[in-house]
Amino acid sequence: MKKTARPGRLAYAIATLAVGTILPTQVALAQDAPAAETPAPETPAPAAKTLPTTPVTPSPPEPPITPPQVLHTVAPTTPASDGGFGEVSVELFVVVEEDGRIGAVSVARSAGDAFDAAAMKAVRQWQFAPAQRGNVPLSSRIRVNVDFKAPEAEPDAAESDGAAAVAVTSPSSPPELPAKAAPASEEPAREVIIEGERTSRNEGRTASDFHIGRSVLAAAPRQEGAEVLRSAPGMYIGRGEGPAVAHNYMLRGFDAEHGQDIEFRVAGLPINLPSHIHGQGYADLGFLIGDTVQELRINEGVSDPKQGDFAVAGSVDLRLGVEQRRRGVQLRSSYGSFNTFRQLALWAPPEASFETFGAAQYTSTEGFGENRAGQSGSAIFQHRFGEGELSYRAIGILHTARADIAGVVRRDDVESDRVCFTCVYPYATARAQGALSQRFLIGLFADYEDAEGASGQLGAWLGYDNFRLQENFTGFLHESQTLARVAGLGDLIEQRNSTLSLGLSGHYRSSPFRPTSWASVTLELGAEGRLDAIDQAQNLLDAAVRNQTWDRRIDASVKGVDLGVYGELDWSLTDFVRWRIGLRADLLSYEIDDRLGNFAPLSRPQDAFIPGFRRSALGLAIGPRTSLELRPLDWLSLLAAYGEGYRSPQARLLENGESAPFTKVHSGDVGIRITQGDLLRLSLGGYLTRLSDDVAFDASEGRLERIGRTERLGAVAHVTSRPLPWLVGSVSATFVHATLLEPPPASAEEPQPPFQAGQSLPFVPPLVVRADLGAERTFVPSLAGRPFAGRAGLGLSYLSSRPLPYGDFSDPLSLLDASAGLSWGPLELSLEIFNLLNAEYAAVEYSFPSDWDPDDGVRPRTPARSTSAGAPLSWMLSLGVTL
Amino acid sequence: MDAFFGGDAVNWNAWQGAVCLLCSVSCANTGRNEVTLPLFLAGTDVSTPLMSVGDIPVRITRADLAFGPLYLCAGNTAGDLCDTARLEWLDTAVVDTTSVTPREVGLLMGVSGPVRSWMSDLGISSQLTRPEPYVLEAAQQLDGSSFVLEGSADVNGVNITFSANVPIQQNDETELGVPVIRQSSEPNFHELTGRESGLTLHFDPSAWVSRIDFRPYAQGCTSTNGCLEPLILTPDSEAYRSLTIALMTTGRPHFEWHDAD
Repeated sequence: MKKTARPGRLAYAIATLAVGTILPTQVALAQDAPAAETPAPETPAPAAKTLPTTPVTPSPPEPPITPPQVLHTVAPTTPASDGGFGEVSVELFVVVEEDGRIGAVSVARSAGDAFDAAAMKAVRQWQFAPAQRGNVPLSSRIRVNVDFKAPEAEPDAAESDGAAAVAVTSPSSPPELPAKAAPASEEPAREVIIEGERTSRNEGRTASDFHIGRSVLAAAPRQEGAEVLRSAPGMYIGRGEGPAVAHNYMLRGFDAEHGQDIEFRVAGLPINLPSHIHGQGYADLGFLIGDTVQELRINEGVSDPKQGDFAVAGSVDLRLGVEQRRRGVQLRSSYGSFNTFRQLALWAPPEASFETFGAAQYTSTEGFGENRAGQSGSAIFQHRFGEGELSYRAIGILHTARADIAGVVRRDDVESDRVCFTCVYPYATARAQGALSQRFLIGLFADYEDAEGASGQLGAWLGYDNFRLQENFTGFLHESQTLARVAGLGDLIEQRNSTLSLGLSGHYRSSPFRPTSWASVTLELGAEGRLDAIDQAQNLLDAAVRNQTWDRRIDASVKGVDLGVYGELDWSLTDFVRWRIGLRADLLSYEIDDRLGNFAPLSRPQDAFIPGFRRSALGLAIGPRTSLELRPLDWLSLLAAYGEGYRSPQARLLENGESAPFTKVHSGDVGIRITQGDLLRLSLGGYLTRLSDDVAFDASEGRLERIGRTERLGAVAHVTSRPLPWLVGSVSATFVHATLLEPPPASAEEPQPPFQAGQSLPFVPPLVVRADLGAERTFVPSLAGRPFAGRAGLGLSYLSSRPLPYGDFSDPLSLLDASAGLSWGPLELSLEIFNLLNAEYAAVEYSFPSDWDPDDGVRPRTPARSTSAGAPLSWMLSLGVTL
Repeated sequence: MDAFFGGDAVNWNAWQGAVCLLCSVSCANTGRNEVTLPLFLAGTDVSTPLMSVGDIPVRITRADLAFGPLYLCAGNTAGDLCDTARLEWLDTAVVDTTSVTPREVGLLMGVSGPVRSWMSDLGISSQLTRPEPYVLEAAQQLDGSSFVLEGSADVNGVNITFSANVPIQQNDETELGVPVIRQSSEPNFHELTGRESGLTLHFDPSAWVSRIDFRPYAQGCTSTNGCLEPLILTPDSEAYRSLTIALMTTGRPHFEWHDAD
């Protein structure tokens, strides 16, 4: 793929070591042509000096990698005491961040402390444009030689040719020690390490594919790592059930609840849990440590054959790493509202790949209202090792959280001052609400990319998740189905779920085949599979009597296998047309041991059988994926895509021998993308998504239930701009018309269910807006020898009023967060303020019958709005040190 | 409290207007709509004697019924299949079932859609949270009874003055937490659109009293002196049981929906 010898110029050799979707690329530049001289002693670049930039192929199936560009160089000052040296060369590693800033600078080959310091001081003053893949900026690490020559050397300076391996020969600062640049031909082979994703699988398929880099993710404050997702267009996440339960996600017209409609991957590890008792595709991202989230990749819709189960609204890949300028040992202590304490310890060896780090974080809080205290801890370790065509990445994640839950309160009770908005009902069954989560994930990925451009990956991962929840949505409405005339002890539902998962994945992408001079094609084949062993139970507990179990609702185990294969042809037809067409097939099988099946002692006490209903089912989901990109102009892309995806069923609901009924997804996207460098990146897109069988939250059982066929017709606009080097902004707006096409089948209880054909889907906000703004400047380059810098950020999320079941509407929601920080050398002090407007809002809102007044002698049966409070105005002060 | 959930720092009305302008289609159809309409209770004119079992003329002087709560359901079957109701009235009231004048007793609240069944209690409710029934306010006004009946019957010239205090409540044989009066399977009973201006329930005490056989109680009474003491119907009497069954099953009220126009 990416080997192109350019006579007289540069020879490229790209070794790609794929790691899931997080793939570093190493570009080794062997210079065989004389390099230009480096201007001396400080020379503003009249124009951007371009590093050796070579398209990977004439018609590459993937956007070419553009190494960093030198915009401005500063020659080093020769140490005065070393005037008698001959030729001295210092080789440096220089990290160029995705926003062009210089990150870590370290010595690759020393020439002594004095020369090393002089070289580093000079290089730190250089200015770069970042490396890019296509139009996406990447963080990169380049190798720079800084040569010092004695005065008797030839005075002619060589221009650097703009190469990353700029050969800099220092003019001596003292006049008597002029220096010159060494001829580039004397340079050893240089290396540019592009620490971005190697393959561009996620790029360019639709206008709703977004890559959001660290600069935007770090712009606005985040209360926790998973909140980086709020920067994704059309995405909103909330915490309705405390820090030990997964967030509630919404993405472009999908109320994805705890993850049912979004395929999440973190560093290549799949996060969704199939057939989870608390929601299909349950995805708890509570383990994320914000400082380690390097990039967010969102594929909205279905267009990529790699998208598998739960990619209904789209898929999200979170790439972990630590940017070079923050590498080292970092300790940060934070304290804030509601006695919230957070301690972060992060270790990222400066010399290692940006993917190599270890991080641990502990958080405790008393919560912003009654019954909201919680603690959590996360540890993430990731290490990339090996060089050349094959490299490896190992990752481990360990997380646990325990938190009380205030649960929901009826709005009419709040309005009548019976219970306060952030309070909990004064019953044992309400105060006993809480959750525990435990998760362990490890993975090992081997990435391969040869000099011809073929690439591939093999990976294996192992995960264990344990979840326990006690939650009461409805008060006192349940009665025992197991014990006669036992009822009204509080609807404290206990849900338990443990999942042991093992997965394998692999894919191979061929080097380009060129049937004509104007066309090339690559073939990608992939397979991935997972086995899940799930144990789950649901009971009713009497919290007033030491959690006595007074009813059993679910006691089951599920064994599931998901085997997916896919293939894609990626055609580049001239420089203007790119067409991908692929197919994905998933075979899913289930074995269900429903230990309470056929159990109906109250109605059939004389039946003679042993309770239980064991069954098995299997199904096949097949869907095409295709996308077309037209690039009539360098700065303009027209995109269209179509794909068919699926969501696996809740296995426990399957019948014996049933051909597993998948939720079939038909997704189409059209749009345009405009790119004007860093100044403007604009995407405008429209989409239509249809689901064969959707689900919505049913509070009476605390889980998802079917609601019928649905459709989303929407539009997305996203703009990112960096008008100034120190200022970055991002704004997105997603509008959707989400409707129910066909209501669920009638039941005896509800011959005409509350959902009607053509109605707006419950819980889906028609409009979601997100804005991020971040500024970062160095105020004083050297204050007592260390740079003094500051940063500030704003984040705004807006959700329009959401329809609720039974014709009700939620109130709109607007959250404004702000942050400011100062750093001086290794020290950083920051203040973050969340919900700056102090809006009192509902983190989640439902409409269903409930009875939280068990002693009034009447039972409400009509739906009532119930809410779980969102966090009010709060602050967090942090003090960190990076060693 | 209106600004409570949305916060009062921003003019949400303006935002809402803009959003609804943007998504006029989305805002147009939200499925069920909230419905609130007044509930009226009325009786029937029983000034002329009614005929009970055996063509015994009966004159009713008092027929007070404790009524409520009331639930209107979507399903064909009320009872435990009405966990989610269309409309409900959670209060109770004493209705003079001999008065034809409707009396507004409160508001029915819920959501639009078809109503096919209904259920109610007669001032005494059973709840899941307690084995003993709750005597609600209306029944308390009737000294713990659901129905207080007073009148006289003319059994072959023998005048019998009678009375009954009937509590209608759950027992060990009925289902816990389910109202005692359940009317199921009324196809197309009513399509609740939200345009209704009210609902009146008409009760007819003659439907209950006409089920009573007063003839056995005339024994030992004379046409000149009548009975020595007024007849009090007790739970162990056949008349009492007949009245109880009639109250629960046969003598259900008639529903009259009022359109706004």
